[in-house]
Amino acid sequence: MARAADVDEFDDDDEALTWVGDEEQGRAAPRLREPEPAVAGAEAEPDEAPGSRGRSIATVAFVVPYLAIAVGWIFAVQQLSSGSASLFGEILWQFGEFLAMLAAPLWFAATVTLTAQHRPLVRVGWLALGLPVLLPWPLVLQFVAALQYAGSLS
Amino acid sequence: MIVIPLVFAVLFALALFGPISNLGALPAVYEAYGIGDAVPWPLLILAVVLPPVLYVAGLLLGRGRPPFARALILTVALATSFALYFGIVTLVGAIQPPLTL
Repeated sequence: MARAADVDEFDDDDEALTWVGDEEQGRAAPRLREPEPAVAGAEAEPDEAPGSRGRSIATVAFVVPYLAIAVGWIFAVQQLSSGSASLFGEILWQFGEFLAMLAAPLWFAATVTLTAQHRPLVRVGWLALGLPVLLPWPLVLQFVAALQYAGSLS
Repeated sequence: MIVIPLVFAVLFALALFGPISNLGALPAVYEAYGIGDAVPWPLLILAVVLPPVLYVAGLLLGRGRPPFARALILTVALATSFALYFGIVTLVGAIQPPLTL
């Protein structure tokens, strides 16, 4: 049974009289300040942003490719050498290699973070764009060259 | 507000060091080896153009966003710039004709 203390103090309807059968006839009872926990749990619905399921699916689908790209860059930088005679050039090259290895995880994290309120297609678009852009082309080109060499031998 | 763009402007300028060095030195090396006609000018120019283009793209994408988001976008742009540069360098080496003295 509702107690006087449970009634919302800002509701003017508190002062109105209610009659037996009001609820049955569609007239609402005074609002309670705090609903019963059991009732609140049963009636509470998840507050999800629109398209969150699609964004989640897109995120999960792109995790493995981006992880593969990051691993690919780790192998790719092992094959690279600056050829620079200056220490400054060598330091910049190493800094660039470090960032290249982080490019895919950073692109993925930035896309997931910055498209949290966008449509799923926006996230899918950016993640799909990142795949060819961030492909470890040094590794891919070496693989292609190795295939061509193997093809020329056979 | 201006600190983040300024810091990354310096970093992107540093990212230009390698491409500009290659643009200046590679044609002379190719000429010395007798393959001056094979200088991959489009790739050398693309390597120089990429960092400023990605910097501007990062600035545009970060407009109106909080500082952390702007820094994150510019970091991704910088990392992408280096990744693409390494791809270009590898491609230049792959299409280079055999060297003869």
